[in-house]
Order: sequence, then C-alpha cells, then structure tokens
Amino acid sequence: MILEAKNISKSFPGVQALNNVSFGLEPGEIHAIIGENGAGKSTLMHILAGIYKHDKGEFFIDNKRIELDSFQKAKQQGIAIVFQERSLFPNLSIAENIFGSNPPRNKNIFFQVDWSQLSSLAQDYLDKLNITLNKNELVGELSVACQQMIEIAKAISNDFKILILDEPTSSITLQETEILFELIKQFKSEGRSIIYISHRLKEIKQIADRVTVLKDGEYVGTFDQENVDVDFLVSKMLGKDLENEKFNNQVNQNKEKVLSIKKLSGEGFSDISFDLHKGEILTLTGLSGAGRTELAYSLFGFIPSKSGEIFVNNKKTIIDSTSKAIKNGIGYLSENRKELGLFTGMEYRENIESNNLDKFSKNFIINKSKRDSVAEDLKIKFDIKIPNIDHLVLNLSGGNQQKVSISKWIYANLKILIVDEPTIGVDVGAKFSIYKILKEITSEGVSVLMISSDINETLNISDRIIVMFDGKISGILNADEANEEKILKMASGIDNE
Amino acid sequence: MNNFLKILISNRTIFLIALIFVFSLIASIFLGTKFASLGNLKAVILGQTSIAIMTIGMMALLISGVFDLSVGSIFALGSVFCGYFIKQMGMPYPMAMILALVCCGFLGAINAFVITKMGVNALITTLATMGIFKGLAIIIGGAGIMGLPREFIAFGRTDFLGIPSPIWYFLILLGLFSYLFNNVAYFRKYYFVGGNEKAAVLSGINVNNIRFSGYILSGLLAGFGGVLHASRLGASIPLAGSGLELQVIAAAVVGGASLVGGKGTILGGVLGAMFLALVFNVFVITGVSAYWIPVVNGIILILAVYFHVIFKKE
Repeated sequence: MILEAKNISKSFPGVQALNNVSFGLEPGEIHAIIGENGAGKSTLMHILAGIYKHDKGEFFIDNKRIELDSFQKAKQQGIAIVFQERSLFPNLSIAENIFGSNPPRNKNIFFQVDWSQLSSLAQDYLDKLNITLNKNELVGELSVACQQMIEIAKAISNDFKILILDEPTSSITLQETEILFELIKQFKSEGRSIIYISHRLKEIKQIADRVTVLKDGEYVGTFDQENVDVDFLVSKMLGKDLENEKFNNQVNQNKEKVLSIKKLSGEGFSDISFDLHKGEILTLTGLSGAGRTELAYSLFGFIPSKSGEIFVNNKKTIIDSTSKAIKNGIGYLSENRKELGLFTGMEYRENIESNNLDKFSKNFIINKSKRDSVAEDLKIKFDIKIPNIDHLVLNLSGGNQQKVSISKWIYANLKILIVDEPTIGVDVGAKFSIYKILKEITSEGVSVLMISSDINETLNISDRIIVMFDGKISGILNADEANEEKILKMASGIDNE
Repeated sequence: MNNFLKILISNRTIFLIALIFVFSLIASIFLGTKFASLGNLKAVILGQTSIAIMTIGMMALLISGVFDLSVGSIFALGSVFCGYFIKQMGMPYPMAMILALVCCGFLGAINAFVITKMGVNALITTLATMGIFKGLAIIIGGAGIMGLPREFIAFGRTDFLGIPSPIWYFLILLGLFSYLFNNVAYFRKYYFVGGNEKAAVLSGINVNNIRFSGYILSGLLAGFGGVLHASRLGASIPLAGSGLELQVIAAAVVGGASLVGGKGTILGGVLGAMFLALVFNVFVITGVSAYWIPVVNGIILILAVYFHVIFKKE
C-alpha cells in the first residue's frame, strides 16, 4: 500500500466530522471516495493535504509512519491536491499560475524571477500533461475545463505519488470530463494513485477501481467498482434503499404556451426560438459555453437581449430588468449560489425575504412575524438542516444552501421558474428532494425551464429537452425520443445524418 | 458570563449602550458634576445633533454598501444656500430652507448619477465632489453670510418642553428612519443591496434606484445638518463642514456599519455618534486642545474596524 490511514478522527466544535475512519490506497489505483455532503470527505482530504490537523489516528506512506502537519510536508511526501474551489489568478498567465507564489528565481541577480526558466519549466509541465495551451495565455480567458487542467498542473509541481481531486467535474461538461479522464488514466498508467471525490456515481463506475463510502463521518465500507452498481452505492451512502425515493415520471400533456421566444439574440446566443408549455420541465442542455446561462440572463432581464421577441402568456413583453421579469411571473435560480444566489452573510429568514418583500408586506410595511412563520414552514417543507431561522446561510452545507435558494423562489410562487443547474454540488439525497420539488410545482401548473449539464438529470426529469451548441439550438427532443447519444451528438455540433 | 459577553458582542445596540454607560460612569468618577449633570448631557446631545442627523444618512449608505465623503461639503452648501437665499435673494426663511434642502438632495443625486450611470466608483466620485461642493460653498458664501433674521434663528434655538428644538428634530428623524429601515419593504432593500449586490439584482431589486435614493437621502440629511447649523449660529459659514465626513463615518462604523455593507442599524449609528460626542466632551472639560479631536477620531475609526475584524474571527 502506498498510503494507509488508520483510525482517523477529527472533530470541530459541535460536530464529529470523522470518527475512526481508515482506508488504504494501492499504487496505480483510482480510488473514489463518496458520501453525502457532510459525510467527511472534504475533511479527510484536508487532513491528507496537511491543512487540518487530525485529533487521532496515524498515517503511513510506503509503510512508514509520517506526520502530515503542514501543506508543505504533505507535498514533500508526494501528495498533491486540487480543491473544488478554484485557486487561480485570472489576471496572470498560465505559466505564472503554475508556479504561484514560488516561481524559479535567479540566485545571482537579487533573487529576481527567472522568466526564461519559468517559461521552459511551465512548458515541460504542459507537455507532460498533454495540454496544448499557450503558456502565455491569461488564465481568466480559459474555459473552466482548461482552468481545471492548469489547477492540476499547479498541484503537481513536485514529483507526486498521490493526486487528490475534489469534485473535479462539478463545473465542467461531459466532453470536458472525458479529457480529464484521459489525464487521470495517464497518471494511473505511470503508477501514480488518484483519490477521486465526486457526487456523480456514473463517473465513478466509469473510472474508479475501488470505492470507499463514508456516512456522517463514519467509514461504511470499501468496494471493488466492478462488483457493485450505482443503486447499491446510493443505498450505502444514504444508509437506506432508494426504491421509494424514485418518482413516477409522467410526461406533461398541456400544450398551453406560457412563454414563447422568437428569434432571440444576445451576448453568447443567437436566433433562439422555442415555446415553454404550462406545467412542463423543459431542459436546456449542452456544453458549458453553449450560451444557456446567457439566454437565461436575458429572459430574466439581468443582461437584456439585443434583438428578438419574448411573449409571456401570448403577450409581447419587453423584459429589460429583473424586477420586470418578476412582475411578469418569471423567476431565476442561479447556478452560482454563493456569488449570485444567496446573501451568505445574512440570516436564513432574510434570504427568504429578499425576493419576497412584496409578499411579506402590506401597505409597504413588512410583516416580520409572517416572514418568520413562512421561513419556519419552508425549513420543514424542504427539510433544510438549519438550527434556527436567524442562522447565517454562510454556515450551511452546499445542499442546504441550494435548498434555501430554491425555497425562496418556490415561495415567490411565480408561473415560470428558470433553474440553472439546480443540483450543482449537492449530494444524492438533496438531489432527489430537489427533483421532487420541481415535479411538485410543475404538477401545480408552474413551468420550469431547467439548465442542466447532468445528462442523467436531463433524461430523467425533463418533459422536453433543448440541446444548444455554440449559442444556437441544435435540436429539440421529447423525453421519450431522447437518449444520451443523441444529446451528445447535438451538444457537440455533430449533425445527425 | 460567557453568554452575557456573546450578547454584548453580537448585539451592537446593547454593546454601545453598555459602552456609553461604562464610559460615562468612569468620566463621572473622575470629573464629578462637571460631567455628570443634566446641563452637560443636554449640551453634549445638542452639540452633536447635526453629526447624528448626518450619520443617519451615512448609515443608510453604508448598509447598502457604499459611502459618501462629500457630506461635510454638502453640509456647508446647505448652510450657505440657506443664507444666500434669505440674505441675497430675500426669500422668506421657510422657502429658503426647503429650497436649500432640495438643492442638497440634488447634489446627492449628482453623486448617484456619477456612480451608477457613469460607473465611477464611490470613493473617487465622492472624494471629487467633496472638493467641488466645498469650493462652491466658498465661492457662493465667501467668508460667510452673517446676520440671518431672527425668525430663522428661532428655528434652531427654540425650546419645547424644556428641550432645545434641534434635539427634537434629531429624535423625530431617528425614530422615523429607524422605523423605515426596520419595517418598510423599500428600505429593507438597502440591506440586500449591501449584502450581495448581484444577488440583489437577481432577486428583482433595482440597485440603481436604491443608490439614487441613498445618496439623495444622505444629501438631504447633510443639508439639513447645515441648515440647522446656520440657524443656531445666525450665520452661514462655508468652512464649517470641513472634516465632518471623518466624524460621520467614524460614528457609523462605531455604530456597527460594515464597509462592505449589509450590516448596521440607524439607532446604532446614532449611538456611535453620541459615544464620540461624550469622548470629545471629556476633552473639553479637561481642557485638552480641540486640535486633538480629529486625531482621536481617526484612532477610534481604526480601532472600531479592528475590533470588528477580531470579533468576526471569533
């Protein structure tokens, strides 16, 4: 075994994050670690990277006991980690980013940065990873997937033995995921080990050799990937069977148009026309950069479109501000809940209040007790795990934050809800409750325009699917005629022959 | 005990009341009735009314995530406009006062226009208008406009139920804006804009609208401070507003405003202003030179932000 963790425990004030967790990593192995949000995956990785100090337990590398008490020490032991959060400088070049704050220096001339060495070493790294980008390009101008590659190149600046990837695919699309997998397989063939954390079980089936499941900070078990299926893993993660969590997908038959878009063009998309029917879930899928979020922004008046027409309930409507969109019954749930969706420094109940000021007020005066009781009801209805309604949203897990974002829009009770990647970064349990919520509101007559890069989600809960490629619609499919292959072809701009 | 400390730290209003109480207690022990008398208390509050009224406007801006360095200059222009309209143009004083306030609101709108429509940031905009407005005050008012009529002076110098009129104006404004920012939907939007501007837009809040109303409010209240000052003095002094922005921002920050927005209450800001007034009052009583006031003011501002940083970490 290249790495062995024995009986690791770690507690934070009020929470036992890890309790006696052990696991081993073989050389040349891709080892997935899964579990719901709060299962302790990230904590364990932070300990391995020397960022958190564990309370109890031991680590062995190549059967030698080691202390992982600083980031530098972990790095010296050959452990490289890529965090879920980006840590790049968008205003600097690829080469500068790879070396970060520790660029090669010229010792003879006042330790100034040795630019020629930096440049050639950076090229070496890029070559080693088969990345064909120009090292002088600014990182801010790269796609998210390319940034991810640079993030990896940066992490492995040493001769690493173990690479930890924390949810590497949460913000990249299918095609980009393939590129990432190629890289991971290359590392594996070189005899390096990979610890892979993801919520996407299908990916794990595709790439992992073994899977370790954690639940509530406890070790559940390690399984050979070949011997288990997705449902088994889900039941291990949840600690219960999923059968009763599955919902009956009845296709919406109502053809009443609540939103029609005719030849809409704007920044990032052009010539978009489609109808949204009453009570349906219409999904916009495609690769990142296909213009889906930009289209949503224009429908919500955040960045108004440049030309074309929007009809709400068959009436031509100009939507040039978000307040106008809401007046016309359109809501928008952002994919970027921390920066665009939530007021993280404010209380949960205030977040519920943010877009419902009119609903909570009479004669312009806010009824705070009404707000509080609504917040309390939503908390119970959506099973938001929060101690009190005056708790700050900042301290919630990703899945719970997402539930807060969704519940504030559900309560707004609008006729059309645009949901942008509604399950991004949330665990399986929360995912199912979000699907249930969406199905529930559509059955009550709300129309949902969903943006999703998750192919299973798209196929499972949509009534119809629109595939976008390069700012244009490349196909509209009914749920029963859609499959993964068709969508992938359309999303990559390959015409059906 | 631990719980008590927690409440003290987490609730700024209670913290400030405790701070004022403890400070007054210590000052009373050392200074006796020179400090601890009803007359002195009245004088402290009266002397700080203009600052406290301006702090209400600054607090509103800080809650929404911006600030205004030009308040001292608008204060000066408010005073000068009023004097100019009365003396030079012969207007009846209520009309002159209202017109001066309208002008000051307009100056706030100029700040908002430059920030929202021209995209210049708040620091640069209000630093520039601080200079522009101050210059205009001196150009219009010269060395000062003296000999304002008795009726106008009465506005700031009458007593009602034994309490000077400026204190009444201040209390009315405090009550009004505390209520507005606590309970009225429109003013609640200030907290959301300050808490996360983009999320506010995506919640259907018109951020530019909030910016305009915030700067107009700040301009109006600063102008009112200036008018009140002119009324009490019987003269419009263009240089009277110099350096007030430091006092007003310090009061708001001591009162719980955060420079990134989303936090603070109107009452907190006013209590912050009153705490500063007590500190400077002790200076006056003990005979320390008034030149020390900006020095201590600056130190208090830095300490207030520093404590905020420490508490946040805990």
